[in-house]
Amino acid sequence: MSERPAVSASSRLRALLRHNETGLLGILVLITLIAAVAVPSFSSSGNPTEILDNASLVVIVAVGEYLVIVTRQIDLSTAATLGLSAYLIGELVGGLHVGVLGPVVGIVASLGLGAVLGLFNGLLVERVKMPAIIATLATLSIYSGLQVVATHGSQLYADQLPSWLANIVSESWIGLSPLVWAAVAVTVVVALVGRRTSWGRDLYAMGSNPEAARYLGIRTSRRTYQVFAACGALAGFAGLLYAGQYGNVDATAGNGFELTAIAAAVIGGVSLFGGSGTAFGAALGGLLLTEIENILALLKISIFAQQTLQGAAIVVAVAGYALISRRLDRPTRRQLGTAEDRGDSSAQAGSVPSAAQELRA
Amino acid sequence: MSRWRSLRRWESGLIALLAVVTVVGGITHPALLGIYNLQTMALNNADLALLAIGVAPVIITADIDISIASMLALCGVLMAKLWTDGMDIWLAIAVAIALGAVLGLINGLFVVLLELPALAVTLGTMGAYTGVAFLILGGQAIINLPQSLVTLGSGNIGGTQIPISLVVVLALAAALAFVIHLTSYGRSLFAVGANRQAALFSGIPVVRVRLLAFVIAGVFSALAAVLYVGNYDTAQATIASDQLLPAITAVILGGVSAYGGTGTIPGVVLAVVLLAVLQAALGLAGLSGQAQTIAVGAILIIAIGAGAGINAFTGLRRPRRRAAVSEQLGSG
Amino acid sequence: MKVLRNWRLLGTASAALVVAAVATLLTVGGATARIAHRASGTTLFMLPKFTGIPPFTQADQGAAKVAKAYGYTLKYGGPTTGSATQQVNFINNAAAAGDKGLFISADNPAAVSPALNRARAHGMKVVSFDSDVEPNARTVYVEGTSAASIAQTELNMLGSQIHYRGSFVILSAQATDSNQVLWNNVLKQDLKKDKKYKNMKLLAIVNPPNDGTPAAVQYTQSIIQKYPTMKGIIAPTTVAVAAAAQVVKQQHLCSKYVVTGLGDPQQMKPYVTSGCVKQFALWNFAREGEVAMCTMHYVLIGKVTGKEGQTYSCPDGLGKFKVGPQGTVKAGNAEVFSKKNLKAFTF
Repeated sequence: MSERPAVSASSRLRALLRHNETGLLGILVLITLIAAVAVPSFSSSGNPTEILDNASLVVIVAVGEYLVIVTRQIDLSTAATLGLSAYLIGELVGGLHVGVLGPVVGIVASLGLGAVLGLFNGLLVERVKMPAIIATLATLSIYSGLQVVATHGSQLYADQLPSWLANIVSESWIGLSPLVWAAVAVTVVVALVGRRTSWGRDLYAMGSNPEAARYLGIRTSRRTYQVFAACGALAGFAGLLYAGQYGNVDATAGNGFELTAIAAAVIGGVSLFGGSGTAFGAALGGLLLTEIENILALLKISIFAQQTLQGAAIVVAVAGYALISRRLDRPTRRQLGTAEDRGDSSAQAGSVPSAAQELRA
Repeated sequence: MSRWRSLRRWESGLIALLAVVTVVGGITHPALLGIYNLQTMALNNADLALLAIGVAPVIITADIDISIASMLALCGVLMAKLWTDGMDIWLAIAVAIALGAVLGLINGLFVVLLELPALAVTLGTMGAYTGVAFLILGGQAIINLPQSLVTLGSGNIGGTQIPISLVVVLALAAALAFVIHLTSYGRSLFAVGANRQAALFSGIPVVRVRLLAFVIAGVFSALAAVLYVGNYDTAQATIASDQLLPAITAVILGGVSAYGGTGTIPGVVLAVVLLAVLQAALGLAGLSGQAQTIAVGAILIIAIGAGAGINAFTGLRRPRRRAAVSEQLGSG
Repeated sequence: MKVLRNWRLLGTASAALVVAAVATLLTVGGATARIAHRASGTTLFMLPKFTGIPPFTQADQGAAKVAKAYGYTLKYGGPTTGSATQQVNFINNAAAAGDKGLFISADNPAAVSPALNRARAHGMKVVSFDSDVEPNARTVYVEGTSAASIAQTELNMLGSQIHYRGSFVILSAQATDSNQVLWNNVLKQDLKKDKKYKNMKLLAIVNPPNDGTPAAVQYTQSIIQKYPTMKGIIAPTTVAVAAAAQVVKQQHLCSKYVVTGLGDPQQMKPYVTSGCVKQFALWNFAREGEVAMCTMHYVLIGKVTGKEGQTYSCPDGLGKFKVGPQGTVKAGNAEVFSKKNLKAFTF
């Protein structure tokens, strides 16, 4: 959503209703209500917090992915960054005895490692001029190879972790685990940076029209380095949390995560064609994916039927909130005299946020 | 015109790289060019090649389909199941190919008619199609398939050392290349991928063009299933799930822009061959799995980096940039 | 113009770099491979489901030790993730490189078998270990321990902790894992046949959609939500049993549910030390590797052809072995681990 910075209160309300996230949130609430009524064990103690716990890592990586995708790039290497960081930083903090400084060292080191790996992606894209999808496919290969090299056929064991890390799921801060709070914090910070700062607006401008962004004097290459570093840093941070959440980290940690995180962002309304989407949307996308998985696992049906329904549910949910968003969107469009033309997406690029446009990816 | 020149250049780059890998690999490890290695390489990459060229049209129209491997599994499972239930294998193959078309059409209808993001839709159908394959077979595998299918997937042409599947793949690739590069449908495909809006204004049936691309991906996944099941003599719900990323890699390495509007079928075929020879050469050199993974990544970077450098030298920007820019200018 | 010249330079330089990189990789790799060949006449290849996890590393170490004694060169390698098509690449490469014997733990038994038969026609002997291939695609299968002993051990570990009374769930691996399917079927038959287990009830066999830790964690959580009155979980995979223990520990439910199954001793140590897991079992992977290598030796010299009843003895006190039905050799017994013997044990 490339919303213009200056808006009045009433148009802000309208903008809120138009928000893609409204539709997504609606679907999420709807699914939750249905599940609460229809699936007895859904609202049983522990389950709702489990969904949040399980969604946290996807949310963090998806929010990082949002920064990259909004500039019309992509990062497929996050899974390997996560896995590499989970092992290396897990081992680092496990071997350190710095008392209360442990969490600080862990967080800084995981962000740092991820940022370096992400920066390398940025270098390939910006300096070597590789398409991001190939560059990060290549680094996905390289980083996951390094993951096997680093773990050298062994693994990180749960008892090697310091207690502050090992307890990020079992502890409770005001009802939620530290893991969930970390995801909330990341989402809020990135959302604020993305929508309320000129840095964030630069990213939308780049994604909507890279050439124009350059003519406007935006330092596009610097921004590209920065978003890849930020995305890598968040994947690295998620790696640290992975170690805490699952205890055991071997060379397969993070496998298959790359598509989940990108899918979460896209389901949350971040367009692969750049220039639209929000961090909240990406986070809600991750939450939706996790909740669908959770509900189906609670049904007493075969795992095979679960898998089928899960796939179908993703499609239905995406279709459902797209329809809701478009309905909310319609009056505004009429007001602006914009034709609702199917085949067109880019006409409104950078001007009017349109659900149809955001969804086309 | 310039697009064509830049693409030919991309393919020349791939050929040059292939030559380097083949020559260096062949000298250090003569077994690379031995008949056994060439045969097994062809057999083991036939299904990958069909998956890759089949999804290329979808990516050329600036969509994506990540359900291709699942369609392969579902079509393969249905084909084998029908055969065990007594159907003639050739009829079962025909049904599987028809199913591929239907699955592709389902993807297309959601993406094109409901205007949903292709990645999200095909992520959903990827899970759903695999799930249906599981519902049909559970965790079981069907093996010992009829000799005619096994021969098609793994046998040689009578009296020669040439695998049948190699010829099948080349024939199908030639047919698809004809459709994509020499027919009016092909021209519409590129036009839609380069600038959907302009294509619409110039009277191209954008919806139909995009739908047909998804159907092609489905049909080629089903064709890949026929070769896969024949070659591995196995039909199971999880087969080929490890082929998704390699297939997409081959398409992009083959010069198809991830943002649509450019690419050629011969380029994708070359990329499949290059990746196969590279893997075999590294494997014969005794590199461990992780070293191979790292090496393939590094060579991708160096190769594409060189390609980008050469393209830039000739004054032609990367195809991707060009498409993206023209889309923006066209819409501005 | 200057820019263009720079690009041309960059292009040429990168092209040169590609040639150099490929050449170095291939020749360096080749040189080491050739030295290996010179050191010994016969090279063997061990191909696990995927590399990078402790059990396969242990099997490799065991096999390498015995290979040295026999004078073979053992190469170890495989995909970095579970992938049948990539395993086939490794099979093809080993055969093309002229390796004389292949050890394989199959990711997908059916799918790798045609490639194995092509490799055998090319002159390679095949011994499967850990996870069998189709019987017609190998000479011998060396199993860590028998399915019967795994099922018995699992039922007894759980039964002894719940007084052989109550319901339980099996948290398994992917539905396509042929080992798991076999073990779980034997366990179900034992439950029916043996009076000892008549008050134990299997509620469900849960197969997560993949073999990763996050999926196993999530399915443990859903098992607990769905079957709150169960007494315990049997998880016959090292990934799942550790994941189940992790969840039960995080939710402070150690005293409510028994978690047991097949686990890696080092991985399970923290859960056993804290008392959350009382017992689990595993066979010795290093020993399985040793026996596999010894068996391969007899296969290579033609003494073992996979016929039932053939016997042979292995060095280093491994003992005597006998080929059972369908060319299967049992390498050892499952060992039960608890607080008592875990400290003394190091693989």
